[in-house]
Amino acid sequence: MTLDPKQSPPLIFEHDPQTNSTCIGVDLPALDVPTADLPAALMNEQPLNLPQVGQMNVVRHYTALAGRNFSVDANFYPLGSCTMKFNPPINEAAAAMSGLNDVHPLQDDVDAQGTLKMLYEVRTWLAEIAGLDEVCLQPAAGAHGEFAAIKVIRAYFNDPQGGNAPQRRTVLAPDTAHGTNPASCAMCGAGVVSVPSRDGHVDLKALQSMVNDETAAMMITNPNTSGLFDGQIGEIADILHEAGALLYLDGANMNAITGVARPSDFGVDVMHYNTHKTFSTPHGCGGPGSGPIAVRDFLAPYLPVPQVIQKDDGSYALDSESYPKSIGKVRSFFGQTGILLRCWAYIAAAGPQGIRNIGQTAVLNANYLAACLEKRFAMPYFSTANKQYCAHEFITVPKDLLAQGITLIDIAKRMIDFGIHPPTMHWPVHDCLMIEPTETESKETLDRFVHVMHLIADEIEQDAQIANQAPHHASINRLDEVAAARTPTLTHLA
Amino acid sequence: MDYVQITDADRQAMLQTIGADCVEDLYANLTPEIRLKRDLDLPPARSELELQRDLGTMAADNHTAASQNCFLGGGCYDHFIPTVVNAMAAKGEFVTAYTPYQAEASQGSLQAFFEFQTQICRLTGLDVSNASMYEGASAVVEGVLMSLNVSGKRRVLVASTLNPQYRSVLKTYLNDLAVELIELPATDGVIASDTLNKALDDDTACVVIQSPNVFGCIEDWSGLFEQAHAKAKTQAVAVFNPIASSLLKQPGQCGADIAAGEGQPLGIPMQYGGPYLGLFAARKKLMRKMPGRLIGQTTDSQGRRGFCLTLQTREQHIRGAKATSNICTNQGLLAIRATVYMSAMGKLGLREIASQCYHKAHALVDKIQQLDGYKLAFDRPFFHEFMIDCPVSARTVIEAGKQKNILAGLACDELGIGQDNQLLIAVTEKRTASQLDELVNLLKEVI
Repeated sequence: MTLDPKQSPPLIFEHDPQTNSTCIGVDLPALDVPTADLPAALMNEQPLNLPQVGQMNVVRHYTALAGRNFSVDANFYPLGSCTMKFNPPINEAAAAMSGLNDVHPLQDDVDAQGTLKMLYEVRTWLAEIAGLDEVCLQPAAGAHGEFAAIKVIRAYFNDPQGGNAPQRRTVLAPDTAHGTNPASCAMCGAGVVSVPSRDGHVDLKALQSMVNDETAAMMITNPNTSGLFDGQIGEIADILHEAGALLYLDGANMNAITGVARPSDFGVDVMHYNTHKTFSTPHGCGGPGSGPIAVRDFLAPYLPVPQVIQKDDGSYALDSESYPKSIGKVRSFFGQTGILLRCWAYIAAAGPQGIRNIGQTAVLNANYLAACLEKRFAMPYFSTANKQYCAHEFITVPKDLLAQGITLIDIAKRMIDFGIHPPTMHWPVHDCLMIEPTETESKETLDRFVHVMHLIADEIEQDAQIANQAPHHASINRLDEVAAARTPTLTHLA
Repeated sequence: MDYVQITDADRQAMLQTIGADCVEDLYANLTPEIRLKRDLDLPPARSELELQRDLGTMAADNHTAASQNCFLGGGCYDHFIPTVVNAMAAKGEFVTAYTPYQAEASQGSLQAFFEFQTQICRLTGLDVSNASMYEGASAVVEGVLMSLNVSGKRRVLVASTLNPQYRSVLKTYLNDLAVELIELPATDGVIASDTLNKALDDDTACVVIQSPNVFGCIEDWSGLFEQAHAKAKTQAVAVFNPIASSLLKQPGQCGADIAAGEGQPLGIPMQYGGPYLGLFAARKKLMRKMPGRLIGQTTDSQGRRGFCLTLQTREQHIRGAKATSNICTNQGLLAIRATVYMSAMGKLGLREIASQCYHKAHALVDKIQQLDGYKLAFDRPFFHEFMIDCPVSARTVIEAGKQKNILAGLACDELGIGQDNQLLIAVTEKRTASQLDELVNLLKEVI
């Protein structure tokens, strides 16, 4: 018996030490039909080695685990590039309604008119927000959207009636790109070439020299992964378009510009959204997300099917037949419908002025934090004195603190002690913290964060040991991640 | 409602701190010509009360499976979802957390994922599971890509009895790669040993066999996989149903190297196609080539047990184009849902559910076989789904069913797996004896 509060709860398997337990967690009605033969050759003689525990213990167990998580509901979560904004409970309640939840994906269109109308509206709204012509809702996540969009681009260039340039198989991406960009290209068999950056922006000269008649597209994140809107975006688009290539926007950072600027207006031909970033669909400990793609009309014939359409009689339907040039399906059934429903509810609630206010406030909050922190936390691309502002997130490379005998991870882990989820670390550059407050945080929360960051800085200057050994007040002390990878234990063996 | 909490007074104070006159000044890099000079063309903002009304209308415009007698399957099944599963999966601490990069702030989800990985290993009879893929079809694709990467071979054999949506997704993924995708034709509803034997050669990376297959028939995984290993050292990819695996022989017992499948039956609502849960498990030798997140056990500075993401050098955020997959966001919350489901059901409950599916489907077939003009399309062992030949078109049966709130099944010609008089019927533990009789009566009446 231990009284150590940091001891992790037993695994669910360990609640059932007796392998012969018959304690029922959930009961079922008795079988009301005659039994059929179960041929021994097909059967697994033994029941699975799964836990067998009572329902209250199941509730206690997972409630205890929930209590060992930081979450947006409970904590400030300024994780750069992830847009950890508030997830309104109404959206969760909507997705749990039987009328929206209990529709089988292969029911006839006539049975799913409510859902199909919702999907059609999401399709229309996402096209409007991007300023692009068509949207496909099928991809399950941002990286999945990247994959689908690169396939669409290739199908376009491979089509003699389309781009008719099958040799265009190379995709350019800045050296600060999300790791998914090159990985998605690789899954499509497309080569990826890294474009160098200068002062946080794409090096235009380098780009000019790298674009050629084998270039299919450039994937760019804008605002970029350093938290800056790239003012050269028009020139980048021109370089690509003059060379016959396309401009792809990784929409990870759309939260900075919703309703303020539209990707089509700065030359984007194709993009993906992350609804779990921009449109508040919750992150769920890593997923589910959803990664709709938006394209200009000349790419629309190649989008994945089925597409949701409105028919002449005003009813809604799924349509595959009108898209003979489609790249096909990228997942089973329609897509992440339950997630798209939350996205619908969020945009419907916000309306046009709200969508703009989201973008503007995200940018205001980030600049405010940066302005409050810049004296103690060095920032390569932000300066109030020079009126050099960030978009919805910013990076700091806290050199002065790192010179005090601590590492970046020590700062991050110390933040946990103050109930703040650490920012993204070491990305896009080494030794940086990337901070994204989002628009839904109050000034009070932002001020407390500033206070905590200064406190941590003071503390490190006085006694680096405190940060070195952080976290002190988390549900567990610092974990040995190196050992976990050296001798991987990925399952409970007992 | 945009959920913004910054007031006008806050805004002024914040701008003053920043040293800017207005918010527009913060967008200095956005040149005027690319700024949007009008409101977006979106419907006006709605209050929560209005939103609730509109959602109610939307829901009323659906004619749900829950309000009908549902025999639809084809990769998504109408199973019972205990309330405890919904309650645990709705906890804000799970719903609104991110990927557990910061282990000390994420022990709850990490431990739940570790339990998930363990449960999936026990369900499949394999050694390692990841912490989820998007859904069934993309999980199968990742299994195929992994076997191509590991083996360096270029041919993929896929059963024509694999769900046609999965075959379609596989085609999309493989058609730009230098890979040959070959479909194995079915013999009387399953893949015959001879068919596989003829197709195997030394350049065959893997063979993909679903069981129960798209017709509901149980394939001979053991025989086929043994042949694949023996003849060409070809890897065996088993596409499995987690409920069936609670009763029938598991992929691992049958020699599978990789198991991939759809986790929707494990307590996940049908919700018109997603979000679902891709299941993915493999033999230990493939561990370092796995796609997706992996959670490992470790200790903290005081030796206490804890959990963290591990083997991340496989992943896109470290390895870029050389990663084992591009997957980043996965289906974490659905994995937690499935974990709670399996924990609450337990080994006895899961086996009971699988048994009830089996017995009810067989009781229904016994009654259908007695009807004039109807027969089982394939006289083979099946689990909870089966195809019947009807004396009328399947569409006729389906439309007649709608008049009685019965979702009678799926038309096999529309699915691309059969003739227009063939109907695919799935039976779960939710169906009662009287609901089975309703379907039997419907079939009788449509002749």
